Amino acid sequence: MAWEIVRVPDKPPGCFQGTTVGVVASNVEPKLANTLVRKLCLAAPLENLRHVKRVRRRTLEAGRNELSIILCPTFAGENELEGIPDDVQKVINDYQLNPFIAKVPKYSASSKEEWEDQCKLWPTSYHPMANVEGFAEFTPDDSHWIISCMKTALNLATLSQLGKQVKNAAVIVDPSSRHIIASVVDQTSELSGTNKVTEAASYAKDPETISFSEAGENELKCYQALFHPYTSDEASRSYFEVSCLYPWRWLEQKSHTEITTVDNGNKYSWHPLRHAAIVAIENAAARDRQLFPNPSNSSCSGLQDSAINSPAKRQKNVESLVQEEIKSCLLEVMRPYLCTGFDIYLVWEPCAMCAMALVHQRIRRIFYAFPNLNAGALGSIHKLQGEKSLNHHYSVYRVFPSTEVVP
Amino acid sequence: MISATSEFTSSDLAFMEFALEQAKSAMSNLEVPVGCVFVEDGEVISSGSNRTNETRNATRHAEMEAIDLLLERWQKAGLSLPEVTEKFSKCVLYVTCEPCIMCAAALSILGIKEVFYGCANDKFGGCGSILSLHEGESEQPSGCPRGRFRCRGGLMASEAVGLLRSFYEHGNPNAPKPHRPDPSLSKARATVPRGDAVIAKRPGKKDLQGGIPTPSVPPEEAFVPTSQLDLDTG
Repeated sequence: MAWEIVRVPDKPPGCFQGTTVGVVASNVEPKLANTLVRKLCLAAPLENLRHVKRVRRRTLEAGRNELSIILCPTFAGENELEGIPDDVQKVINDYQLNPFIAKVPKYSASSKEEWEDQCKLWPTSYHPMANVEGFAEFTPDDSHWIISCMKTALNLATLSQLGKQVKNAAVIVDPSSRHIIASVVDQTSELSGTNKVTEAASYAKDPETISFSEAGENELKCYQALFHPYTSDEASRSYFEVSCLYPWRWLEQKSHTEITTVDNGNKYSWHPLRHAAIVAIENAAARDRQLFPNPSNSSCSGLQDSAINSPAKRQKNVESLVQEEIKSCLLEVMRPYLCTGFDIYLVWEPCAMCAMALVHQRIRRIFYAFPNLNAGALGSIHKLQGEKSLNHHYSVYRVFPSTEVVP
Repeated sequence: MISATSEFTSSDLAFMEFALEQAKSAMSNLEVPVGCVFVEDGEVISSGSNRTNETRNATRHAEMEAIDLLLERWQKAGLSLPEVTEKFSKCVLYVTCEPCIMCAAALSILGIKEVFYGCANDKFGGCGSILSLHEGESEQPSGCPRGRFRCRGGLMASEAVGLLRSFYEHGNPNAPKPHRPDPSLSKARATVPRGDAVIAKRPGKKDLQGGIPTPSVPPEEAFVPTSQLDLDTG
């Protein structure tokens, strides 16, 4: 099977929470149904209710059929018949219809069970393959790009496989320019060799572009080595270094950093919270500060031109000052707000700490390859993307590597 | 886990005062006013306040700042990993606002002993409000979940809420700019000499950092519900 991108739902599957919305409907003569549907689809298309079928057929007692049709959405309020558009009112008058308020499911079903529940209320459509807003929402070009981003993350995780210890990898990208913003692996423990990876993978001043490439045979082998199911202790041991999978494991570690020598330039030789996503956010913020120095805050960067504030310069040339202002205005417009609009690719589903960090940093979409049954917060243990109280909501997708990669 | 306000000791109050000082210093730096201190054996060993705006890193909450200080210092002092875990297990955190989901998870990972917080965080709280991460690891066959810590809220909550309210009343000056620049504004910018232009201040604008119209009534209750405040921090 080929690579697949599937949306991770933000609510438990099969639970139709009864979220409904009122519409204006009417019972009609079966012979009129076709004509009316055609007229109404023009007069009042159901823009936000595409999953709802226009017509409901119910069998009443004594084998009689009842046909109901949605005339239009409600306008004045959930239970109000007021505000019906003129075109629809004309249809009502012409065919002497008796409008009433009907309740229909507000959202499309995300599972077969939910869909069956919904249809008891009003018939809806259900597309399991499209997975609500799943694969179908990406163009082939987008899908190709998403898959190559995930391969970049998988490659990073593979590179980190020194001493058979796998690490999680995080790649933040700007989908509009298709540039890598940050790419890192877990930095909870700094075993020998991993420094090289993190250095090479730290944020690039000149944005690099991800190239499209098909997985070669070597690449495939590496991916395969990345992922075995948690079958035995032996197998899971090689994942102990994947910080989000085993966030508490550091508490039990006895050995590898008995003597902690702190390298120059490195504040920590190990840090139990430096999971890949946290480090990636830190690098993205560092890039932001460097590329878009804050002119009004001197504590932020050493890059600003201190001469701007001197009175001599102020008087010198109004013209150049205006130019300066326009330039900084432009920078201000181009400057991202945190990671708004950016996507992150993770090999493993993030833990609660990382998932919430990504909420704070306003990531747009999260793609992960493998679920985290121990501590995953985007589907496995918690479902942060479904927490309505949060002030930001990202979409979450699982990217399934092709079966030749993960048999 | 969250008990009444009456049982706090005078040293609890003193440590929270210290945390509130940190929150005030954050506010003077135009940061969301949340602060904290870590206490070991009755002594403050680390403190922190929000630096999300300055760093442009929205994960730099007070707790994270204080934790990083500790890890850096302990490693420089040559402490081994087991020694550090031992130290964290004796730490008590005083923080002006309930730790968010991220911070609560982090505190659980570190295995700290106890948390005292001021006001609850109805939108992001990870110690009971939204998730209960202070309960530690989920479903352990061995029985004893790792990363569980005691947690009590309501310690000087009104002071904590008061700071947050006064911050949001003035608007978050580091709020994002509108997507399309206001032409009248950029014109104004271009003509005002830089030294006097405080263009970043735009009060009244609802910001993504969490500004929401704030109630004008001063808090009276000891444990104020903060549902009207959008606490993006803590």
